[in-house]
Amino acid sequence: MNTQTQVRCPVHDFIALGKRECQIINTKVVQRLRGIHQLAMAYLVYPGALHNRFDHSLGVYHLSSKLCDRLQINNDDKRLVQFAAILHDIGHGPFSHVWENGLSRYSDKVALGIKREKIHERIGQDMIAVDPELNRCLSTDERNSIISLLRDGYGEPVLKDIVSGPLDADKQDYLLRDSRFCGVPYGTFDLSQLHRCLATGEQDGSTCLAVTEDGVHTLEQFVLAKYYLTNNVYRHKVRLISDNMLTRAVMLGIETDGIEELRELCSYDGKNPEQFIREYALWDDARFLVTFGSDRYNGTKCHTLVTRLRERQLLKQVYCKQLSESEFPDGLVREALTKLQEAQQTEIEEQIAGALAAKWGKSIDSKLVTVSVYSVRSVRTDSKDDEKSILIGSPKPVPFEECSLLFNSINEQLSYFYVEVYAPADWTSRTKRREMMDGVSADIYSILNSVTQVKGAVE
Amino acid sequence: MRTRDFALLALDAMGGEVKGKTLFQKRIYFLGLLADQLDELGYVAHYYGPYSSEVAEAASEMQALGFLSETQVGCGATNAWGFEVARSDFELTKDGKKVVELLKSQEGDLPKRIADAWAKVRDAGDLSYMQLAIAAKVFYVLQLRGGSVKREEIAQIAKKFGWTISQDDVAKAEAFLLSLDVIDVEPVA
Repeated sequence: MNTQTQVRCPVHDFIALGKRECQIINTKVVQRLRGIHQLAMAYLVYPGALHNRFDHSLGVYHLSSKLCDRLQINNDDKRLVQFAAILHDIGHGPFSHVWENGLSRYSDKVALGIKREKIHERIGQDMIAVDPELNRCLSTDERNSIISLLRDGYGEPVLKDIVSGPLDADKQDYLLRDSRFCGVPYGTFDLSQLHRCLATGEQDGSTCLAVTEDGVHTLEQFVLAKYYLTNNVYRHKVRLISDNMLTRAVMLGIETDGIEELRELCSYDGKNPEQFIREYALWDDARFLVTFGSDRYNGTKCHTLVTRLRERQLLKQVYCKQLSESEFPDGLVREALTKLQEAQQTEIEEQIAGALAAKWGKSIDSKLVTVSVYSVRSVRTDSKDDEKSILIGSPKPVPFEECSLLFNSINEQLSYFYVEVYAPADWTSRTKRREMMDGVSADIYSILNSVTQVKGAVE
Repeated sequence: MRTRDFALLALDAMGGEVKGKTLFQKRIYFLGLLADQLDELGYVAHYYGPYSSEVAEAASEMQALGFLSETQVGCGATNAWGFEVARSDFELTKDGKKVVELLKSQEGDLPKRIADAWAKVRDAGDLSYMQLAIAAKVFYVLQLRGGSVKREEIAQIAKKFGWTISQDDVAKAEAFLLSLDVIDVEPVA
C-alpha cells in the first residue's frame, strides 16, 4: 500500500491510509459514522465517551492490517480484510446498538431470511451492495467478497476471525478505545504481546486464528478487560437507563404517537434496499435528538423522553432484585419474568405506576415506567464471545479456558438474572432515595408476583 | 421455542439428569437433529465438535433461575496442562420439573418429538461424551461435505481430528451414526 495520508489516532497513534482506503473513507456512508456515538449516550455518565463509530472503524482498520501482517495473509486477502474493517459498522443506526432494538421489533426478519444476524449488519451489507459511491470505489467482485467476509466468511476462516470472532480487531479496538475515552483504565491489555503471540492453527482442515502458549496471560488480561468494561461501562446503571429511554422513545413514537417517519426508519425488509438506505443514511444521533426534541413533536411521548435525555432528566432505578430463589421463591414466577409477554409487561408497568403515584403522592405516567429483566454471564462464558472459544496452541489448538489457571478455576455456569424497574422519580439525597425505594419495594414485588402468577396458574 | 425450553424438555426426556457438560452439548445436538430443531439451537463448528453457546448459556440460565443443580465431580485425571479434570453433573430441581410440566402444556408436540428422539439416541447405544463427540463431529464434517459416505471413511475422518481416541470409540461412534439413520452409506468396494 502506498500511503496517501496518516491520521493521528488517540489510541493507536498514526494510522496510515492508502489511496483506495481514503476513497472509501470519504464516502458519505462512512463519514456518517462520525455522527454515531460508539456508546450511545454513555457520555451522560462518562463525559469523555464522545468517541464515535468513525474513529472506531479507523482503529479496526489499523489493527486488522497489523493482524494480517503478523499472520502473513496474502496481499489480496489483506486488502479485503482492510476494506471490510472500514465498512463493518456502516449499517448502524443512531445510537449504535440501541437502534437495533427498534430494528428488531419492526423489521421483517422472515423477508430478510435472517435468524441470528443483527439487522444493522444486514443493512450494512446491503449498503455495500447498493451504495453508489461505494460502487465507484469497489468492484463488484470486491463488494461481494467483502459482504461474504462480513456475513459467513470468505476464504480461510482466519480472515473472518480477524474481522469477527472472539479475538477480532473490532474487540481489540473497542476495549482500548472505550477504556481511553471513558477514563476507565480497566479495559487495557498488552496489545503488543497479544499480537506477538498470534498464530494460525488448524481446525477441520482449515486455517483459523489461534494464540501461542506464551499468550495465555495476555489473553487473560484481554478477557478480563472485556469483563470489567462490561460491568463498569456497558452495563452501568445510567447507561442501561438511557439506552432504555431511547428504545422506549422509538417504541412510543411509533406505537403511541404514530410517527410514521420513525416507523419507516425501523422497518427493513430488504425488498427495496436503495430506497430504505437513502433515507436511513441521513440519520445520526444529533438529527434524532434535534428532530424528535423539536416543537413539531411537542406533546408526544417520544418528545417527552427525548427532552428528558437532552436535559439529563433521566428515569431512576426504583427497584432492583436478583431473580433468585431467595428473592422470588416461586419457580414459575422466575420463569415467567424472564419471558414477559407484552401484555403482561404493560400490565405490570401500569400497576407499578399506580402504586408509585399512591406512595409518592403525584401522578406517574405508566408509559415512562419500564420493567427490565437481564442476565449477567460468567466471565468464563464471556471469554467465548457468542461464537466460539479463543484457541491456544498451534497447529492443533485447544480452547483457552482449558489452559488458563485463572479461567479454568471459574465456574462457567455461574450467571445471574436481575429484574429492575425504572420510573420518573426525584430524590435529593441518597437517604431520600433509599427511603423512596424501600417504600415501594413491597408493592412492586407483589405486582411482579401477582401478574406473572396468571401464567403460573396453568400448572 | 427458546433454546432454554428445548434444553429443559431434553433434560426431562433424559430422566432429569446428565453427567457432564460435553455430554449435555452433544446429546442436545443429536436431539435437535432428530427433532428437526437443529437450526434453532445455534450450533457452530468447534474443535471438539459442534458447539452451541446458546445451549451453554441455557444451562447457565437454568442454574441461575434454580431449575438445574450442578455437582462438580473430580475424575481423578489431569489435562495436558496439569489441571484436574472435573465433570459437571446436572440435575433438574423441583422448580425445574414444574417449569417442564408448564412447557409440556404449551409446546404442542415438541415434548413428544424430543422424547422420541431421546429414545432413539438411547437405543442407538447411549454413548459416552467422547464417543458422542466423535459422532457429532464426524456427522458435522459429512454434512458440510454433502452426499453419501463410504463406511470406512467415518473412521478415517475421525482419525484426522488430532484427539486421543481409541478404535473402540470410533467404532461405537460409527455404529451410532448408522443406527440413527442420519447418513447415507455406500458399501465399501
